[in-house]
Amino acid sequence: MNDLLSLLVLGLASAAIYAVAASGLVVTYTTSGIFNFAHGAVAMVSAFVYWQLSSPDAWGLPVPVALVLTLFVFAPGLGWGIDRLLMRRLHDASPMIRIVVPIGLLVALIQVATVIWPPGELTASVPLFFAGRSVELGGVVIEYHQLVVFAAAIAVAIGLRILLYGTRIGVAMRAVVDSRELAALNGVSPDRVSGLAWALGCSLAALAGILVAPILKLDQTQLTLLVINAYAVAMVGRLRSLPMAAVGAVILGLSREAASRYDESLPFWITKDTVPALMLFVVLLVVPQEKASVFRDQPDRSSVPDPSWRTVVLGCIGLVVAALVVPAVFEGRTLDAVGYGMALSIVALSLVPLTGFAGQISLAPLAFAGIGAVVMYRWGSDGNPLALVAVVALCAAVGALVALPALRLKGLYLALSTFAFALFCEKAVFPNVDEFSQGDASYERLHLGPWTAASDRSYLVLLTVAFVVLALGVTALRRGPMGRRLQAMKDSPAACATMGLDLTALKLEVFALSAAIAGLGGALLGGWRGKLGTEQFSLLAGALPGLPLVLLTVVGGIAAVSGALVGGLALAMFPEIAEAVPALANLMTVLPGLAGISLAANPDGAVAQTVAQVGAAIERLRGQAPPRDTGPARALALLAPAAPSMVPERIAVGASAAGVDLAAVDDETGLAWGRCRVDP
Amino acid sequence: MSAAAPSGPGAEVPLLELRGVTAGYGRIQVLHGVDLVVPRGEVVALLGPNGAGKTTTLLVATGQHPVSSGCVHVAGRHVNGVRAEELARLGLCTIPEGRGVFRSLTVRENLRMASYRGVDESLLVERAVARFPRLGERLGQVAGTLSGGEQQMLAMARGLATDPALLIIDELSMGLAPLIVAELYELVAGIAREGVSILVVEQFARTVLGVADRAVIMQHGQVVAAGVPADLEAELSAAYLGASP
Repeated sequence: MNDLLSLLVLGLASAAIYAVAASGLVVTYTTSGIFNFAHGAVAMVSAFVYWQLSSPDAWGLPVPVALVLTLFVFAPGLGWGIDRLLMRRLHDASPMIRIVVPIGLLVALIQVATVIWPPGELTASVPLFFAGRSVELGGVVIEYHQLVVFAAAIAVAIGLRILLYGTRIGVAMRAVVDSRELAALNGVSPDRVSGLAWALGCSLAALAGILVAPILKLDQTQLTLLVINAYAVAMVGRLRSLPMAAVGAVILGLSREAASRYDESLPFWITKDTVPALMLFVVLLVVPQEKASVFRDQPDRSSVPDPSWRTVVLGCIGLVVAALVVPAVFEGRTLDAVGYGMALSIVALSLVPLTGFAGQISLAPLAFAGIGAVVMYRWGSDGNPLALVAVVALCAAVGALVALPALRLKGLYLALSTFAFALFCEKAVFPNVDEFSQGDASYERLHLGPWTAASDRSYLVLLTVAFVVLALGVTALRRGPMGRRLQAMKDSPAACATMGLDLTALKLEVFALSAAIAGLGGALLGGWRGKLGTEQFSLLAGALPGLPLVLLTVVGGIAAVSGALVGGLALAMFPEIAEAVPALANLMTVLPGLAGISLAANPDGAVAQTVAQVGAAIERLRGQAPPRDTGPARALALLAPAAPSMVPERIAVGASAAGVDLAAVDDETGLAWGRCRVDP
Repeated sequence: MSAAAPSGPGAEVPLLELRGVTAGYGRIQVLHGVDLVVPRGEVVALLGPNGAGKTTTLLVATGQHPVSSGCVHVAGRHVNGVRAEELARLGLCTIPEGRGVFRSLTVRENLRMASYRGVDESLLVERAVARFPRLGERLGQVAGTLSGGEQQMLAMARGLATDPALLIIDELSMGLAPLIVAELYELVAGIAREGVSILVVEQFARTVLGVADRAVIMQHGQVVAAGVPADLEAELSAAYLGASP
């Protein structure tokens, strides 16, 4: 009985933290339509800021002052800034950009926090509130900190209820969700409302971070990951309902606690670490996806480039030649990074047909690569090339298997389900292979009969040729019937269905194909590195390669094979550049996240954008293209009124510039000019 | 089209005036120099076939879409670049195409939203219920569950409760039964008699012409005819049927 009661108390205490975190997610999602992947990172950064302010080892401010500064100054400011600089640009962006930019923010925040508070040099910890004090209830000791957590969760629940239903600004927040345009037509400033919502959401994240920090070690990824548990919780309420999110929090809190308590009697894949991923996956499948989003589903306008065969083949030849030359010029770490980058490029290539052509967003390419590496370790660690066949077959099967339940998901829901899958692999699949979990799975280089790709040069050429062959295959796919079908599916699934296209089969095919390519990349990486482990394939641990790979590929241009090459090589080379030029070290650490964030401005990817701009400039030089749009300039020239009755006065409503206050309400027109100021 | 020189301070200045407005989406220009005037206290019908540029004109007039060139004037003041919410707070009331209600808010909350235009919240509900008693019975109901006609009523009630100077209505009849449309237009006529200037955008001309003081016909992003409804029969047929007048 006592046992059960203590499980209940501990479970509910974590549930309370999840509920606080999830309510922040719900608030930002409902008001902006953007799922804040960076929610956990905001919580983590806020916890660090709180530590910085309050810890006797740092600035040593009194706890209440530090709390107020973190919760009511830093976090809201951060949220407002995020909205102002990034999220506001995303209203018309495609679903992919709306997912990738917050992920960029997530990665950037973790990386910035690592730069400011280096994990190796700093052992920071946040004490419990009222540490050491507790009450006893029915034989169970409840710490004061847990009581604080309960109180905070209840206060947040009541406060949000009053705010959203009882106040005008709260109603306005909900109104903006319904229709930004209509809200504006009623005099609400949607930008101001969404800025407020982000400020509030980030404050709630900060509260969750501060409450959870004393329980965990103050660590960038641990803290971030813990708040990511709130994804599953918020999803129970379809990211909209706060009461349902609270129910989800209780379910997750209790089931995690139960899983950690009865670990022995459960199957290996149910642990306290896998429960959130499993719950997220199950909830995504069980909870019906919104039929029609209140945020108008923006069509994916990202262009799919169609390079000529000549360009592609020339590029491929150049790449192979480069692979022959590079080992003569570079050696040691740099050469190692080039090969690593080449293998990562193969993994990134798996995203080109899946996300680039078909618009199916996957965050799990490295998880599939990890599965490929595990399979290779089992059957081909001696360098037997036949094992690659097993890798391809098994990864394709797993890819299709994962896709099967996820078939009806799209956009954000699909991205989250692949996220859950990647977390699951990281927590349950990879740790289950002992050597792999210790980073000690060793691989021989591939051999074919008597010939072995023993030297670095031959193996690099092998990797490059593998990339080139796959890239040519993907290009052929793009130009063939399947490529057309994939793009048609991305443009309009409904139109495809009416034409009799079997979307189920098509999705399964492309998921299987993508998983097979990623698996091949992972398997080939084994031979290059010699040893592999979970860390190389994790989403958020260590060097957190998983999400940055997706980010950099999108930045490189996810719809082109060149984008995959850019993404893979960039991810591998950034640490090398940091090593070579110490002045750039911090920049290189933060760069993948920043690159992801930059997509808010260039949705087609920086590389594609640059190519397009250069192309347009060349055409302009040749005089073939229309001149650049000079709309604003022309408009300015025409500002002068045409008739004497018109006095052109620029009205800057609410501007603080000194202006002439007009009469409160114009008797003639009934217009309330009084609240406007006319620029002198 | 408009009176050139005012005789008194603002006496002849139209409430809304578009002058040589061009606008577009990306590289596609949709409006090619639109001139449009809504004089004080009149009902103006903006007509035209699909794709004529009516809705874009309306978006431009209400500050929801940027003007590439030309000017938009409200009561003689140049308002290019003024945001929609700022125009709304001035007293420009827009009822957008297809039920301008917040579907997930209750009727009362919908009315409450208009308080951003500077009218007291309790007064809003009082006025709306006085005009549409049916809404009074449904204050707690979620707006999305109202019938189409009731939603349109709610949208109009919310707009009118703020005593707007200019009412802009887009496609009032869209998706509604003819009987309800007739009822709503009767209402529009009543509002016009109270002295509110109204711009109605409609694709189906007949319903609105009975109410309008003047009509403007658009085609291919330009105004092709303007005047008293009775004089426009020929142009209307031409615009809709492609026949030459």
